[in-house]
Amino acid sequence: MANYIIKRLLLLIPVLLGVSIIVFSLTRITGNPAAGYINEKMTPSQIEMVYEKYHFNDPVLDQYGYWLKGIVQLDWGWSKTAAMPVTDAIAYYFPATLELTLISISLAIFVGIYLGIASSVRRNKPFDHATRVISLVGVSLPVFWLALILQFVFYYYFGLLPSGGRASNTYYLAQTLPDITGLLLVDSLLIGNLGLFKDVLWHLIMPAVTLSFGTIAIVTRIMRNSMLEVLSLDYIKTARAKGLNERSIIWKHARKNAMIPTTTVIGLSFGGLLGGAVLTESIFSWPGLGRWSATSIKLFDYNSVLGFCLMVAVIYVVINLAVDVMYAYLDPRVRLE
Amino acid sequence: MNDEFIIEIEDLYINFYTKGGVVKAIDGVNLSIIKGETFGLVGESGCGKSVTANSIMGLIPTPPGKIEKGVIRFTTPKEIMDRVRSGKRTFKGSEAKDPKGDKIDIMKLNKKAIRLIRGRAISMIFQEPMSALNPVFTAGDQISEIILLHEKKELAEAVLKKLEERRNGKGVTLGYNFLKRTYTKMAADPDNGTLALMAKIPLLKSYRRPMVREANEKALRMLRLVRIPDPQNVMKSFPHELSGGMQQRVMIAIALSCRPQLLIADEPTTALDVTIQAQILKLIQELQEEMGTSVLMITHNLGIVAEVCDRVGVMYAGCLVESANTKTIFKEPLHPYTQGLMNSIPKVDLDITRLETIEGNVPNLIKPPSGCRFHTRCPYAMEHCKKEKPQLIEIEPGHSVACHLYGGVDNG
Repeated sequence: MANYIIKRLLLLIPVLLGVSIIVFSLTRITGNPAAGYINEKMTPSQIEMVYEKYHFNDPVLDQYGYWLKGIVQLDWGWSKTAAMPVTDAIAYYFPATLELTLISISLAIFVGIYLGIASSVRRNKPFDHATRVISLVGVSLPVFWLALILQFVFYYYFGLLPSGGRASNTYYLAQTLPDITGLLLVDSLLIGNLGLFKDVLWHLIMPAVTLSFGTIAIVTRIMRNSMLEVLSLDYIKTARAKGLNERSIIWKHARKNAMIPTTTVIGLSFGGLLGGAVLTESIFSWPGLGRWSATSIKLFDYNSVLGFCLMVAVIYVVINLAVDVMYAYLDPRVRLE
Repeated sequence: MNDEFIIEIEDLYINFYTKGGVVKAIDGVNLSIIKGETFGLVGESGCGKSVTANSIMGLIPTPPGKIEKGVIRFTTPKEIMDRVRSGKRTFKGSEAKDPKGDKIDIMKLNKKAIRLIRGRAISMIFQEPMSALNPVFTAGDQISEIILLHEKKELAEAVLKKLEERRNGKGVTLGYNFLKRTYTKMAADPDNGTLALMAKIPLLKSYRRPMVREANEKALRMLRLVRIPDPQNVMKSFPHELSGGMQQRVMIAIALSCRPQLLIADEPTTALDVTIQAQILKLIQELQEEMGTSVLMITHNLGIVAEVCDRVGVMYAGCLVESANTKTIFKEPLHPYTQGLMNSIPKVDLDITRLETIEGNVPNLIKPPSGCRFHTRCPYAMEHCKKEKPQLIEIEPGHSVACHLYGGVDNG
């Protein structure tokens, strides 16, 4: 097991190299990388200094070499968008995205699995049809549409929920936001501020629902299908012949087997969500990775874009690895070698 | 006379409502199994052997299946009878609310009541042990599960006894009073709602631990009983880590762990190697003698029938066409279909190059032949056979046949 994990982590190196080559080439093709460091007040000699300092006069291959050296030394360059080094920017924006993602993925797991199981048990009954329609809608609805509609209804029309941000402005202005783990829900509990906890939770509802809606839909569909498949197998009949009640047959014997294919989907969605939900974060002014990367691209802040892409690649590989390890845990027939 | 039967099936009709039409899978089956015997049910695939067996367990999937008519009278042990009687809303209809004596009509039980019988009084083993065992639970877990389900009372008593022993041995037991109270309650009423609720609450549910340990010990004893070498290891093994023969032994251990009155073996050896087949059959026979269980052996293998069965029922297209002692049926089969079956056994000692077969194919059960369902393939078919369905009649004591050739029906 440990060997397997180490092997998979070593595989990260070629993956990252590939990603870095592609993204680096793209940033060099699409414009002048010096643009990010120059403004209109600079004299030609100052501009020349920028070119010298960042090796923009050297051949592209050398530039890649310098950049790679920086990456290994954890000097990922300056993020103009965030006005801090890229590594700091990632550390700064990551917790916001992590918090949102954790909430949405838990929502997706619990709601999706429950709906999937419930509708497989009530196959072809009204509940099943309703679930299937909702999950079809969930897969097809564009995120930005759902986000805007939710905002319109719950913020503008009913005034029930805040329009965006992680907490109310008063906390930002008073600079009383705690920064212990970066996850505001946890931090507010750690400092014992229940008012802040409620405020943060309220701010989380709409973005989390928006983000999880599509995932709920996919998880529901996969879970329903794999439950239907499992429920027709022989060992379910054995379980019935043992005299078990339907509840333990479904929630113990069938669910554990049906979870195996669903785990893959959940893992992939988790990776995707962690990579930053650009649309959701932009609409709800969520200060996370997605919004930061979107702004960086618009401003041609190529250091940020490169850093962001590398980080997403790492997250994806690590989560895939985690899914494979989970597989071995869920299905004893799988051996990791 | 009736008292010696463990189960009597009378006039059973089962239909399956499919898109293609109504499949009349079981068409008036009557059969009974004597206590302690092995009853063989033979016939081609699709003739309704398994459906009959599933109906005894109440495992016919509805829909599409529907039991149209029939009585399955099962001689229930007193202890289960008491639990069935004490349960609220145990019976489906208002009739038969008060079952006579120790017989119970399985058809009239509701879901909750039939679960008291499944696995406890009647259990089943299947054709493919690999797919019949849940791949994500260990063999030990799957055996102890059924023990935990049906033998709570016995387990609770065993735990109480151990608690006392340890107390007298001056050992310190954590939470002695709590455990004692809980298990006394459980021994008195295994279906107690409070205890079931407690099993779901974290921390509180740890009260089950001594009981689970007890069940695991019993599971280990069961594995020894089915002659599994190295049972400690097999307890912790997952089904895919065991060979086919071992898997089937685990299935038998599951099926017999609550000492059922009736064991239904649905082609238990079909998926196994020939050498393993003999071992498994011998094992079933030995355990049957040890526990006094009756066995319903479903098979299409006449060799197995000759070897292990006391009596045989022959099924064709959803009907029981003949039933008799094993010896009688091999010596003088009466029904033309049975005769055909006997003839189609390959004989090594005779110098025949062609294998004997029965002409024609198994009929489509959506549109079964009128009258006797075998008349389309029967060499002795008469006009009368197309019109009227022959009843199962007793030709001589213990030998019944459903055919117009016998029994003095005015067939000209």
